[in-house]
Amino acid sequence: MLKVLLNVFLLVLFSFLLPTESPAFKQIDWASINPSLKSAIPVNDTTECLDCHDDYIESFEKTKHAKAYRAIFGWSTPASCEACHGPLSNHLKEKDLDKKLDSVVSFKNISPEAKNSICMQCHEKGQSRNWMGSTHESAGVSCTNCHYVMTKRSKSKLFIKGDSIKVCFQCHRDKRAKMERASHMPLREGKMSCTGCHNPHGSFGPNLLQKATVNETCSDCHQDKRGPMLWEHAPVRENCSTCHDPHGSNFQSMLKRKPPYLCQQCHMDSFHPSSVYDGTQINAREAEIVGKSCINCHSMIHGSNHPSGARFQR
Amino acid sequence: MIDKSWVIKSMLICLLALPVCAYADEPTPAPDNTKNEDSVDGQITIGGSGVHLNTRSSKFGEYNGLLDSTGFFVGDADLLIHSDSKYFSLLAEDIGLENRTINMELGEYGDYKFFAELDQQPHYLSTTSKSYFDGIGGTVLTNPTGFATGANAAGVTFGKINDVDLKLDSVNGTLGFARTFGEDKEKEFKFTFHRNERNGIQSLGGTFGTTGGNTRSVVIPELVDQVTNEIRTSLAFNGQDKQFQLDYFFSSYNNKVKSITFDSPYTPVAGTIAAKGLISRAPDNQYHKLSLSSGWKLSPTTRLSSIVEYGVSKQDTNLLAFSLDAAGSDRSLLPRQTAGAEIQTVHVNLNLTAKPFKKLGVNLKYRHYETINETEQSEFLYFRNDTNAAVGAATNRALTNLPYDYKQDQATLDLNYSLFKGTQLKLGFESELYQRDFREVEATVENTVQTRLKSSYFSFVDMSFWGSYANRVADSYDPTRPFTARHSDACLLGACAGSFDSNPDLRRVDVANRHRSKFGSAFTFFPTDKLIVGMNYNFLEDDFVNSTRGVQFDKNQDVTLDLSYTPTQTTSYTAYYTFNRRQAQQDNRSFSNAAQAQDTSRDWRADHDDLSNTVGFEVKRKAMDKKLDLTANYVYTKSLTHITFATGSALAAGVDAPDLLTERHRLGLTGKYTVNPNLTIGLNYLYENYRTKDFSTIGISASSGEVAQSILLSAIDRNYEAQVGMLFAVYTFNTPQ
Repeated sequence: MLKVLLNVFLLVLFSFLLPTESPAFKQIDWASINPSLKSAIPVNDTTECLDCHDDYIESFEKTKHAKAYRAIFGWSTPASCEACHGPLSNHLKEKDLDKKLDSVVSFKNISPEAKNSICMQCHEKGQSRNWMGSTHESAGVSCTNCHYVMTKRSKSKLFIKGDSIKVCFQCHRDKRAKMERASHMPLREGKMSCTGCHNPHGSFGPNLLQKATVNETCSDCHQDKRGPMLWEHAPVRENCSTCHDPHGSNFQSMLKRKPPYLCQQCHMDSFHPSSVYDGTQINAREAEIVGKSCINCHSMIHGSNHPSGARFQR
Repeated sequence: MIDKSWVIKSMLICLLALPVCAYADEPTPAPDNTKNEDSVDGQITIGGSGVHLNTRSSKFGEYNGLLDSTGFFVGDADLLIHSDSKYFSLLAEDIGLENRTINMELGEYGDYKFFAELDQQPHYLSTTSKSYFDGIGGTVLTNPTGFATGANAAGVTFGKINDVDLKLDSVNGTLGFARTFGEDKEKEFKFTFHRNERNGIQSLGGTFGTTGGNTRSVVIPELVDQVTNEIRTSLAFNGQDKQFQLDYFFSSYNNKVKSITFDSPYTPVAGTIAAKGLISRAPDNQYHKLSLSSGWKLSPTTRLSSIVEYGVSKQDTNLLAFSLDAAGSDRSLLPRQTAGAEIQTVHVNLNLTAKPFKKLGVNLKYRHYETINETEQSEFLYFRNDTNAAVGAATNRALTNLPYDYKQDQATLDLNYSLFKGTQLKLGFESELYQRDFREVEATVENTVQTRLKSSYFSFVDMSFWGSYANRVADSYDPTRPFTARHSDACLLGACAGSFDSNPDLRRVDVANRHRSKFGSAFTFFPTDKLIVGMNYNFLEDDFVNSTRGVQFDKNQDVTLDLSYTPTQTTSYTAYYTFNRRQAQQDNRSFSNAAQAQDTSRDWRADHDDLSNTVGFEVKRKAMDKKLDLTANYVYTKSLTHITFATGSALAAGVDAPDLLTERHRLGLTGKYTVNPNLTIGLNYLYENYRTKDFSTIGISASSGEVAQSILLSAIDRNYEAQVGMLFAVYTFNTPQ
């Protein structure tokens, strides 16, 4: 297996040396997005745009996006408006308002696929390089569902709403409610965002996770659980979400179920692991159900490095 | 406890130095219409805030440190400074609170950037914990003068009991550099150093008695003092049609607390209850990962992307001795002196996305992930606890450590077909082979079919329907497999012949045969320009079809209604309601010997019913010629868990557990008045009311004799009523274009 891997590594490494095209702009067939642009040519000048769209352009020019665009590509070839709205010669020439509106690529009335292809002229790289074929792309999500480039509405990333969490909750409404639960990651408090774990632009991980697995994602912050341990707890090694719900829970430590019932999903051994812990046991304040429940004793549940720690007590 | 001040100081020096460096050698740029004008944009917010809490509560201050009625400075900044193609950005949040963040970036577009971040984060866990131990904040906890042990917690004489706040502090520092280079700036190198320091005190269960009927534990205040250093580097090629990226990640975790020793509060009993305990802490570990990923656009509608990743986790700390006493402290008894643990991970992922026809999209994916656990296997003697030599090494209880491994192979085919305008149908199939070592099941195969219909055909509604069905089948379920693997031959042939870890009728939830059904729908109606109505429904049911004992089913469903109404340009209303219900049935059997293990009259059943209701409402209004911004929002959430029991005839009649409850009201009011284009002043008011009922701590005092077999550290302290008032001013930098 390692030999195969080494060969794949070398192959990909070799591909760095291959001659490639300029990264500046991908060519877009504007006429396929809006057929009335078939005869249009770039004017390479935004001066006339200001006559009607001065408010938009002025707010756009204050964004980091616009500043970066100007710095990298300059004001000409192609002009910034035309980079996203297509060649404007017809639009500027038209006197009839309806025809004028029809002779430009407007993000209000084009398909998600067309919108995305415009953004991907520059952004098909880095975090967005797996957009094509990603869960969101396949579901018909467009860049403009989450981002708005004409005005700064968020502190970073030009989100359409104030922050990335509000953006995600536009669609993931069940998660919005879960985040309000008692046991939650500090998203509400602004110390985390959905993108801390997920890459909405497409990833190689499951469920758009930034990392290859759930556990690799969790151990990015919880390095103490990473191990490997001398005594491993099998489901801990495989998948943290067997026991935890990272989107929020009403049980301590974002557990999916109240201990000891959570543990009893897998442990039905002689004596206490199989006992029924009902209201009688709760009233009797049995150590197996009050306080930290099973963890009152099996505190090394994520794995133990003690030579006598096979039962995760030490 | 470590001194984290050096991190903060060094980070601040670096951060403050950056803007000086940025403009040190920059001449004033001449006016040029091909350059960005020099500009300063952004906002600085300063103010003051007062908090009134009716009680000290870790829950309100969980992530902001506001535990008591107090005041704090309000300070935020969001600045972006440009000089031609160079820029400097500063983002500072919650400067006056414990959860402050400062982020800076300096660079030249399309060329280079330096970035730095300093982030602090408290995590309060409890403010009403109490412990009788001497030495809190250290690694040796002793019973204090005046303390007298007892046969159980009720018999203990505690003497002086100390308050101890449970809290973890995190400080994160990040420094990085990125450079774009190459003829067409198509290559990028990025380097990031990240350091995390975490320290504080949290709770940890410590055990003494480990035989039937003698279980004894005490929850101790655990010192946390750990550091993680990480390096990430990447080299990327971003071509028009080809992208490649090579990543290397290194993470080194260092735990300064290797173990904690603590006196027993219980009177020692030879062979069962020790006089002292020693518990190991998370060991130092190192992790390396090398990744190569690529994206090839074979045609405008075809893309092949791939990643190959190889990771190594290592942990080779010195093992502790078996026990503290003379017999167990002899390190020569250990089969090896260090942990010698190592796990390699291999991840390969290939995605092919194509649009062979204008209306048809095809996604083909293959994923392989496996762990290669190289941890040495050894047979470890069994030392029941730390100071009872007589119980020492009984070879028939010796256990071998199991280096768990697993391997996943997944193949996915998705077809997306555009039926007609704005309407797409997706059909998908996925097959997963999951292989495991040392588990009851060696391999499971799960096949999933799924479909989704999404349409925006009608201008007044967007709608989606989706559904999937998955069938997970295990090759066989052998409950003896892990038991046999970790017990010695001597045991298997003698004392533990015919024994098992879990009842053979149990099917562990993560490897049991399972039918998974998922479906849902989403609608967004646009009945008028001013009104948007949304509805979401999700249903998921796991049916464990062959589990005689264990989880029988787990069903989760939620429905959300959303409303957004904007009657005028200056007024908007939004509201939502989410109802979530999760139901599960768990069948178990209570037994203490082989005969009882087969006795169905000892069966018991727990039915779990979790109900959550969440309501949110927000009104925004602009008044006084849009100079006054008013916002009011309210969120109410209530979650209730019912757990009911049914028991077989050989058991006492089941008594339902008291309901678990959490309930929170949050009301926020904000008013902002724009004095002039550069200055806004504002008032903010927040009201929160939170209460919870949890049968695991309710009515129990910390460090008391109320639980016979365990001395708890924490009791409930979460209920609170909080009011926060804030006055602030926002200065806006606004360079005209």
